[in-house]
Amino acid sequence: MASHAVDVQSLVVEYSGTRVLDGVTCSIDAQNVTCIVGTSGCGKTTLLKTILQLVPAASGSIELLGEDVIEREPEERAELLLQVGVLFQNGALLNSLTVAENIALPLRLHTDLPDEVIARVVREKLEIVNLPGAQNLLPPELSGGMKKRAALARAIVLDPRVVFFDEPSAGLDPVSSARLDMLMLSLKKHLRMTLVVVTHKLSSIFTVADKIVFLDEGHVVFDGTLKAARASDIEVVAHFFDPFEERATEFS
Amino acid sequence: MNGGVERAAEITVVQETVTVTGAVTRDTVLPMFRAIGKADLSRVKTINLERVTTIDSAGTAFIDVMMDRVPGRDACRVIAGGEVSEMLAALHADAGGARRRRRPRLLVRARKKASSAFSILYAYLQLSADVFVLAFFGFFRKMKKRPGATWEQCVRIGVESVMIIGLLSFVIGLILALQSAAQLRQFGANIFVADLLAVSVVREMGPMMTAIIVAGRTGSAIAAEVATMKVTEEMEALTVMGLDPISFVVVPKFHAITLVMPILVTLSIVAAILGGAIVAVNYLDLSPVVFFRQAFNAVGPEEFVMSIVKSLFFAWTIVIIGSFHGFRVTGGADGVGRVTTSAVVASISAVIVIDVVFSMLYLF
Ligand SMILES: Nc1ncnc2c1ncn2[C@@H]1O[C@H](COP(=O)(O)OP(=O)(O)O)[C@@H](O)[C@H]1O
Ligand SMILES: [Mg+2]
Repeated sequence: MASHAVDVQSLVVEYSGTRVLDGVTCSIDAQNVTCIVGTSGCGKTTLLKTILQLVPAASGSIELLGEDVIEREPEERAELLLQVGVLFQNGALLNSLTVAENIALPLRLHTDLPDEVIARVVREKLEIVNLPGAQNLLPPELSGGMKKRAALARAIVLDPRVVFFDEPSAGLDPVSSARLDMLMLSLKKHLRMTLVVVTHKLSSIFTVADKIVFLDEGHVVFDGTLKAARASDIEVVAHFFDPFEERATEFS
Repeated sequence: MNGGVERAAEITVVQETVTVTGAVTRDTVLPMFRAIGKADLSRVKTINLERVTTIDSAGTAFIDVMMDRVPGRDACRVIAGGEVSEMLAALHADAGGARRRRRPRLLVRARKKASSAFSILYAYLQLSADVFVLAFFGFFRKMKKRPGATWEQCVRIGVESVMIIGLLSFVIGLILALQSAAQLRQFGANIFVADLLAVSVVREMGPMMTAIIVAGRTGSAIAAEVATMKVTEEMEALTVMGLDPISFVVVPKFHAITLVMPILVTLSIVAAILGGAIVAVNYLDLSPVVFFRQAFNAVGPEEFVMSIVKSLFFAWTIVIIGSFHGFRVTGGADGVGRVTTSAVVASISAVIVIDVVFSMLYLF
């Protein structure tokens, strides 16, 4: 088994001619939490979606769990994606289905489990994300934080090896956000999952990150441990981890 | 494809002990679940999982379900090796051997965004092909869509349009009859109001009125729903879960509209002719029997069938154009509004163009 869950080499992504990722190379260690960091609009979501092949790559290569996703036929890719969970920015729960139906969807699709067992799995997952008893609610009846937790339950329902998070703490209150951080750590520790987290929330990064991949203007400017990132003297990175320093001197 | 040797799991019930061996995963649970359905668990006191090699969350859920069926769940002892008990505690599994059902190989491929007129046409044709192929397969095999989705759509498209279509068609029938009655009376050709009405309503007004109302209600709703799902990343979530957005979102609507449209058109025709009958009886002094007999004689059943066929083309066009515009959304909520409007305009225009084509067919 590859020790890298994801390996991205010289990835170029363009949206109708505009280059968003310009030769991105980075790797994500298995059973670790890697935070993808950068200012908004620098292409973090794009990188994530390209790894999942929701956005086509102009050039470069991507290995996900040891398989080249770009070369794969869509069906083979769909199979590979069974081992991957994704938490989209706003949860992306299907609004016409209840929470339980949303979470059960991958099981109904990809397994022949009886209803009783499916209901039990759904209950277990809802307990893991600390949302017990929410089965029969519809997504519009949930708060932002609850939506994300329900979506996370759906993302991990097939016991994926890798879970991608797109700005999990955006729009969450500090308490929900801290809870989600704890949840991520528990997924890594107890369920031995690999987590890839797009975020720019410092507190969250300090809590969960093992590794940092720092994106700036379509390039990876830093790729290393959290500790190394905090000690980095690359200007954008140093500024990111200590955004007030410059200001403070400005006003003193 | 089936993960090589699918390390089979087995369950045996001997008196007080249930023994489970092998890999207890989502791929092996079903036969075991059936087995415990038949087995007598009333005396079970121990569940032995020592020889379980792996277990995933479906497996732990299965064990949990089984324990519920054992009398005195709390007194039941679970024996498990270190690794499995750890996995039981963490609900974890080795997800490596994931097996999946075969998916049909279809035309579904990356739907690229198109910009030039030619590529828009190409994308449109591709979507139509996908929808037709998926709808066709979806009719015969249990496709990856929600159970009950088609029925729900039937209700949404059909039942909610019944009143408005019935009412408007009735009024149109009334007006048509009134307008022509004034002319026909001058020539003493009162009776021909029935012919005129039957022909125009069956051939044109019925299918057309229905299509325009359905385009306004359902076409816009489809565009808005697809666009919203696109904007909120629900479509991408579907793709990541191995679901084709077209099968899941568009096909149920396609099936529903195919079932409902003929009924709505029939309703529209009946309502319009009833409206005309009121004028004929009260204003032209025709007896209802004479009016209806004349109307029936004016249009043959094949013309009615032709209308239904035409209306199905209208309906499919509305669904495909609605979803096509929905998939082309850019931006956020404002984008949803924009594509909804353009979907309605485009589908009504397309309905009229298709109607022209069919009118030419009538000529031959
Ligand atoms: N679907 C799209 N079409 C065109 N441009 C896009 C699209 N999605 C994102 N972009 C552009 O690509 C850049 C990177 O976007 P994104 O990856 O969402 O940034 P981040 O997630 O880091 O905030 C932005 O400039 C954005 O405007
Ligand atoms: Mg983003």
